[in-house]
Amino acid sequence: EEIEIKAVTAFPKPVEFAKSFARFVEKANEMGEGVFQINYMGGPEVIPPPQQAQAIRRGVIDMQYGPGTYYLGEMPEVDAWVGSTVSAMEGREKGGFAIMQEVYKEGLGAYLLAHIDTGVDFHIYLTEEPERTADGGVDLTGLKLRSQPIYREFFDTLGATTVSVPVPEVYTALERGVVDGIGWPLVGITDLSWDEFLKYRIDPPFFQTDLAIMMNAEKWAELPEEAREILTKAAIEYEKESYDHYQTVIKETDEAVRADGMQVIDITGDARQAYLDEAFATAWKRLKDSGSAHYDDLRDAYYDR
Amino acid sequence: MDWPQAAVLLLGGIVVLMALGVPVAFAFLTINIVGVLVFMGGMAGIDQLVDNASGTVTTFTLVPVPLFMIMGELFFHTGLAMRVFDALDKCLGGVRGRLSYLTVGGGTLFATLSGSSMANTAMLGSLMTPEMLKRGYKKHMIMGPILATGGLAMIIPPSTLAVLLGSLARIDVGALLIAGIVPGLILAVLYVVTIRILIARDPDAAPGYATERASLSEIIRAFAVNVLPMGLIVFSVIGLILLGWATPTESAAFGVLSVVVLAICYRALTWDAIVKSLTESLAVTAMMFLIILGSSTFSQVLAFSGATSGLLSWATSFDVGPHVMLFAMLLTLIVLGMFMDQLSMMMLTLPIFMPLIQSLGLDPIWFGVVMLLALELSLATPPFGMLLFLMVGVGPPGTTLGEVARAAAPYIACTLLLILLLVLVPEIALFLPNLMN
Amino acid sequence: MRALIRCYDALIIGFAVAGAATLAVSTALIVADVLLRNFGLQPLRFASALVEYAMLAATMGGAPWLVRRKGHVAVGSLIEQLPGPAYRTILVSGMILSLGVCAFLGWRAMLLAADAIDRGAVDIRSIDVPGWVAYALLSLGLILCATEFLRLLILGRTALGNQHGSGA
Ligand code: NA
Ligand code: NA
Repeated sequence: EEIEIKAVTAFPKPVEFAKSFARFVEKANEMGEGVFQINYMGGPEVIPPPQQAQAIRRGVIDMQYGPGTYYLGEMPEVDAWVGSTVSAMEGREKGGFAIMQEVYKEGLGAYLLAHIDTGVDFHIYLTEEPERTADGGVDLTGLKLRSQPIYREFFDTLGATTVSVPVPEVYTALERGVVDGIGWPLVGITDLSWDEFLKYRIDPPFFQTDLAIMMNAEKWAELPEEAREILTKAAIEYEKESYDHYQTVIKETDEAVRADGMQVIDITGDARQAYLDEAFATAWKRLKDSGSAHYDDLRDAYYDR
Repeated sequence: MDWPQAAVLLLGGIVVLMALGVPVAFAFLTINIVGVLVFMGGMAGIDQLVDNASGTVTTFTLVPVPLFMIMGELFFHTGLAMRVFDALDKCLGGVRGRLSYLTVGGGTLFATLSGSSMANTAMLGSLMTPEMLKRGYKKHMIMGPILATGGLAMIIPPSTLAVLLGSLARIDVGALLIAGIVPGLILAVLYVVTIRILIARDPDAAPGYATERASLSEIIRAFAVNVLPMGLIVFSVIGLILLGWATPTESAAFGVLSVVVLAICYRALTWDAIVKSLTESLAVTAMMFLIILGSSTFSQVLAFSGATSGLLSWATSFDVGPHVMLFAMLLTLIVLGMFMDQLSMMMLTLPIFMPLIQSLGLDPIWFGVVMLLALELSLATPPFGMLLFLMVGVGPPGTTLGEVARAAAPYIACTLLLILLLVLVPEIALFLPNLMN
Repeated sequence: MRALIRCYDALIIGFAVAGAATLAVSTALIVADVLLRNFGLQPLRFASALVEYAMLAATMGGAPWLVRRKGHVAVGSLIEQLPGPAYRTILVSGMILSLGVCAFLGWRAMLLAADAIDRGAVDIRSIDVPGWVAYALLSLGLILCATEFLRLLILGRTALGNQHGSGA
């Protein structure tokens, strides 16, 4: 008899990243036919995203997919992924994934199965053209950016003012100029029609998605050897497949938004390096300040700038 | 357990507990415990329930509810409301039921500022109810228009719900917002007609006391002194949004501030008024938010049990024509809407509805508007309708849920009529967005 | 005993006053935040996190007081048709049920608060909020709701009330 694995995601089913998880489920279920079946129950309507990590710990659900930033407070090592410059495959090769598996076990009591959908970076998007500094960088002094925890220190260093705006109000806030910009991944910027107002994108991108699939530790341990092998194989394959998929999506999205008239402010030369240094420094500083014992090892594995 | 059994246990359970007079919030908490024990299992499930509940009301999107409540209460308790209504009496003369019409007019205007039906209803309820009671309106002439017009906030832009719907359904948000304008206004007109019919059938329902026809200079004076300054409130709420100074949520706080400033100018700000306003606002806020806490976790238990997805796929599994399928979808929304909150409903239904809409060849923007109307309807249908509960809180003393539901019925019929009109003439919704392109 | 009752009453009213105060403070915080932002000054970073928590605080501060003044909305029309004794029995059973549910969930919330302190959980919003705060608010509110139901039962005030309504 097939074992049922109950899965929940941090995104509603229609959202792009949830679709990626659905593709993983399809793949794993095909490989695991006769051994196990993942039952993708739904997203935030089943369990609210901030509570999903605890649901995994308690064993209320067996599998969860979503951004690690929801449990950043309990597991500061998520910032190693936020501040990572290498793909999941490279991180795995350099031993980073193994460390993160340990961290998930200690911090959340969970089994980390996969680090998928990597290769998607973040950009600052603006409704108006930003001031440039003498060295070719951007000066965002006086601009109001929508704040989110992972960007808050970086936006501070750029001189921007941060405003808290819930997602459903971002559209009106951009329309009316309550905020002049947001930080968002390249993928998904058109999902909420925000690109109607966001006419400028600052390049280079910074940070990286921190999307993981984790499982309840006991459930994992109880699975037959065969099931664990199949799931691990599916996870490793899907890390690469999803990376490749998003490289295509990024290229297509980039072309589409440019064709729609989005201006790209490309910071070059030394200013580009300085911009990226500042961005990545905020993530790694948070991790260092948390006193994590894994700081050095994670930095070696995930950061190669 | 199969989904029909799960549905009967959970939905039946909540209906029975509510019918037995258990306060709505605690009825939800009770059924949640039962549902968790059956479907999630043990103490771990209970802890998950409490954990989920802890995050349900700590959200910025709920902030306008208490703030607009305070604004309305202060407006009444400082006597500013009476000044405005007396002045309007002078200007309008003796139109029977004028405060009911004013509710629709003012509420529609307010709907163009506020994106939240609950906030709009809370504001209208705390503002209009005491005055209308004092002037001898029957309960249903007070509650019906307030509840109905309150619901317009999510149809007429800005609307947080429309934005969420657009993004979850992959509909152009801007087009969806614009598409809501004409149907929203038609609905307001239908409400006016409904009030006129209700008054014609029962003239005593609304007072038509003759006010002395004031002289023109008196009218101008009354208007200048007592109505014009209230423009500050309108500016604080609309103006700040239009100027890009504040988000719709934040502007609610400035609505409160402007009433305080005006009350100070009229020397009407008393400690007593402040205390009363805060007390009543807290009473309604705590009542509503505890229900939200119970009901959103109920939605989660329902989703976890598989009851909702079972019902959904069953209702959409028949091979029928577009209109029958549309009818099935609307019926599903209305049934779910009796028990669930709107966001959960959208997250559950859209992944199933949108592909169907596409395969049936229906326009997604048009469907978005129809769906918004169905969601608005769900707020006013018993047994679980947030606007019904809210109206019990802000309505006349001693109001029962049954009275509110009956008062809402004619206006619900208006919404159903509008949905029918939209099915027959989709251009009502589509003509504005098409014009923009 | 009398002093204890007075203390308890003060606690319930005090919580409600605190709940109302959080609403007033939220208004002031939002106004200050928006003004600072629009005058080009650094806005109050803590404002949005505090206002969000104020919503829970107001709910939990007001809930026990609402039990006392019968302010939680309920459907009375159906059981009112029943004969007196049956009506009373059903109402009392409903209150005992509510009491049990509140006490049970309040107790679990307290354990969750303790667990959150143990784990050093943090809720990252516009500022970092200790993870135990939300559970503690929930626990206090629910447990006091339970004691308020107990009080109503002891005093025999079981009828469904109608004290709500802004005109009341
Ligand atoms: Na609106
Ligand atoms: Na309903």
